[in-house]
Amino acid sequence: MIQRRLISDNARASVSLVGLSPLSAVIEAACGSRLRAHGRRRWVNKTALCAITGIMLLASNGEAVASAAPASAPLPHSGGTLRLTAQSSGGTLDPQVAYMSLTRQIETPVYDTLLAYPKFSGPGALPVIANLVEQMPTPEEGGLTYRLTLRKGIRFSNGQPLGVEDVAASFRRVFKVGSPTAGPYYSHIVGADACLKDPAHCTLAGGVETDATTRSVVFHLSTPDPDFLEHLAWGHAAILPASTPPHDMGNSAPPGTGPYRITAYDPTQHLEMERNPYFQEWAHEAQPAGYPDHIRLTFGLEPESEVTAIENNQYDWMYEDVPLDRLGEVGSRYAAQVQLYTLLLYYYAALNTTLPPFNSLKARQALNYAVNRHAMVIYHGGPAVAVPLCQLLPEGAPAHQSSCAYTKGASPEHPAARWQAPDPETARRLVRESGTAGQKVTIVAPLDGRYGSMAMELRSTLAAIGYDAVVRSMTQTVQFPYVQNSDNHVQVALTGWQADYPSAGGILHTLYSCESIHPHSDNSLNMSAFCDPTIEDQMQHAAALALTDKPASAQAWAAVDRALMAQAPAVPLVQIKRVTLLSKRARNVIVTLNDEILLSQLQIQ
Amino acid sequence: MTADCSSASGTGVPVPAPARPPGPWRKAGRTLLRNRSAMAALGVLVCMTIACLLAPLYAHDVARVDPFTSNVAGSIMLDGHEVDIMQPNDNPLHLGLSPIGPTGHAAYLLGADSQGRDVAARLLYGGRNSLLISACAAVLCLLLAATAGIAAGFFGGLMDTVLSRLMDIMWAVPVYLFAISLSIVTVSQGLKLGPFVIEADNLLIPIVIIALVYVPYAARPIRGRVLALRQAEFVTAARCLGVPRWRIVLFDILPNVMTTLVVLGPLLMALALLAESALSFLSIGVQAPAASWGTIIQDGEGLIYTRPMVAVAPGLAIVIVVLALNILGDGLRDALDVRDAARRSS
Repeated sequence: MIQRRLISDNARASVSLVGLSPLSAVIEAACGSRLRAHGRRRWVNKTALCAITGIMLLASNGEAVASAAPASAPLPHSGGTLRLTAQSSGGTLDPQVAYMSLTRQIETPVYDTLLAYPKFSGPGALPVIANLVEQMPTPEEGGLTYRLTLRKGIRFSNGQPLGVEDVAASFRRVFKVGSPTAGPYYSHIVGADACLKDPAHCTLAGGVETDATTRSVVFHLSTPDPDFLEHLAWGHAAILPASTPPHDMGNSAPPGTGPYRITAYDPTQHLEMERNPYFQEWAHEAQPAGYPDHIRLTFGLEPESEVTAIENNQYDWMYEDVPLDRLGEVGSRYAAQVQLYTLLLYYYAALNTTLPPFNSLKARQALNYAVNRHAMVIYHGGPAVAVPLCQLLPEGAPAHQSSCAYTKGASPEHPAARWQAPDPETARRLVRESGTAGQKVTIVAPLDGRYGSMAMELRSTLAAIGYDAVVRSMTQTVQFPYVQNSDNHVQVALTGWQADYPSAGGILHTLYSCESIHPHSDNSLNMSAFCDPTIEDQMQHAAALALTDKPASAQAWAAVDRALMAQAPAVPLVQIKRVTLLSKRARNVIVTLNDEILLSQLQIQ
Repeated sequence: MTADCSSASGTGVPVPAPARPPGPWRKAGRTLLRNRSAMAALGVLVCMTIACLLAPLYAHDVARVDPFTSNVAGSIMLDGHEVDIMQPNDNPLHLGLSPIGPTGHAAYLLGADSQGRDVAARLLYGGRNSLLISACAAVLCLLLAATAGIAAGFFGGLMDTVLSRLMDIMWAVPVYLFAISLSIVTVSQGLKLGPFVIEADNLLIPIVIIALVYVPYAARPIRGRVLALRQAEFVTAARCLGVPRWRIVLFDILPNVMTTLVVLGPLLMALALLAESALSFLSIGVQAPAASWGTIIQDGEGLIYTRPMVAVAPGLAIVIVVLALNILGDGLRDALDVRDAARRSS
């Protein structure tokens, strides 16, 4: 259930469809409008229908290949070398270990999971679809059993056919290599407890059953996991050959089933990819064939230099955000090359509810009223790049219902639709009533420039409503664990959060559940140490509903969001968009919810 | 008739008392006054110091701004028009905002930084901190270096061995690496010395750190000078006469080392200013919202393409002050260094 991502690695997810290939546009027209017309009810069936429609269209064009012949058919505008640049590498290439956004984005067209997020989904959070399996599983026995059937004819990039044993071995390997999400995401599988205790001898006995003759894979869970399908689509559940060594592969990339394979990697210099000669497109929506023949990623340039290099057509895509002081330049001279899309990434200030002054509800509410979210937007590049955030579920997340309890003229009982302006008078009154005026407050923030500006704004706000505030800055890699540890007595922690996948439960339960409090630990994501039994019950109810009634679950999570904001364990500040610059020759830019810009779909003119 | 001691020669003509020769300090002062470069540098330093001391007056009564409070959502009146401090960039995508540039008015004379604060006001406030830290660090460094150098040079033996090796060890560590290491430790938690607690944002922390890391650089020449003085005849004579050693140090050694200390002062202050700026640039010197020239350069780093003045102005200030201190230091050396004077006269 835990979704962890340090903002320091520029982790990002996206939610808008920026461009469509002609074929995917047909698929979108065929099923996207139907989804909109009928709402989200029975979403599983509709998604399956969309996937089937896509496959049929592909088949009619003669592009859906079922044979095992190597090398995929040529595609429109295919060929060429896609040149990418990033400031530094993402470290290990092992898909079951890597947790850096860059590696995930690069490996999207290299590795496959049993399920996947649709690649041409359009804006909004859509459910996962079948990828390596023939169809979406239906939860059985109250969400304790999931049956899947592996597709035929898929091969790894080394020519070896994909079999059910590879699936079972891959899930065992998740525990053996100590994948960072082994515990949080896969501990519900029967046998996972033993695997977590003794990874070297992990068998997942009784947890993953396979039958090579029917190509069936059956997952048995010890307790229902409302997000289990999402976890099957998460990158750490990539299916690798059973022979893959049970240790972090580091700079060596194990074979995958995607349209590309990694041929060279030097984390100090570059990464090279070429077409997987054994790839045959089996589900265009889940893992489409790529357009460039080669992809080359070079490391070492500063973001400022990356922008200049792309402006000069020396590279086609940069991993880092366009620096703030270059936004005006790229927006005016290179507007046609800019891609702007919303992220499920937001910044907030966690208020420690166990320490003065924020053990007082009125003090927490006061800061929520007083903070100038418009200023926070400006620090991130203005309204085109960021939006004020007034609730704990960001825009685009499932169950998000826009409301703001802490803006001028609003209250938790009568929230406004969105944030309008700060209300310092109400804030000062609440501080007076709380009896906490004059107390010293320390804000612990990362050193990064935007965090620094936000921290100074918070300091000014706290000073304006009657506190003696100071900012303590430290490097982000130190700050994130530091603020989680209760021994450090952090009053206000300025931080950011991005979910690995869109899930209301994933965000709210992880950050504000009693279960997420781990005293004296650097891994206690409930930084507010907020625990409310009533809201905890509401969370359990919403999670249980997710197995049987998704819309009702979404409503329940929206209610949890409002209930949490009434208690104000944090000050949501701003949700940002990603500003990406591409070269003139890059076309067919497709952005997906989880994979951002699909690098394999970029066409080089 | 009373005897007149002044006419003891019997000539009957009063003889004026011989003119007392000017002391070494007075001579040095005269030499320094004749050095135009040094005087110009001193003038620059005095002007900069006075300007920085007047920072509150400028901020509150001239510019009428609060240089320590974020003001990105604010606006100012320019020529009767209300102007946003953060101005939207003119592009079709409406990407980004830039802080207001130099206005040519009292308010935001040099424009605003990324938090909407008046750069000119912060420059003056930053100068106060930068100059204060560098001056105090230089003085503290000289005190420590003089103590260590005189002790090592005068007493010799084990004391010399221990102190000299300690200085060698400190010398072996790159000065900025040493300063950064100390700063990181103290900035995160402050400094706790028994019952005394120094908060992380206290200026004493960078002062002490910068003073410490430069002690070996000042102590070595002082020790060398003391070693030479220890063999001097007047010191030998004092010893033979049974003068206590502390009196020899205070009244024979220290006055003769003082010229070295005075020459080292401006040079150490220049080094301390650079070190302070570097530490503050790395966020481990002066802590926000207080300003120093280093922190202002850091603020301007992200605006180098759109508002270069934010980084250029404090950079220029550092260059000017360091240059002036070096020229003044050279002038003082010329004025005080006896050997150099002897060389010149020969």
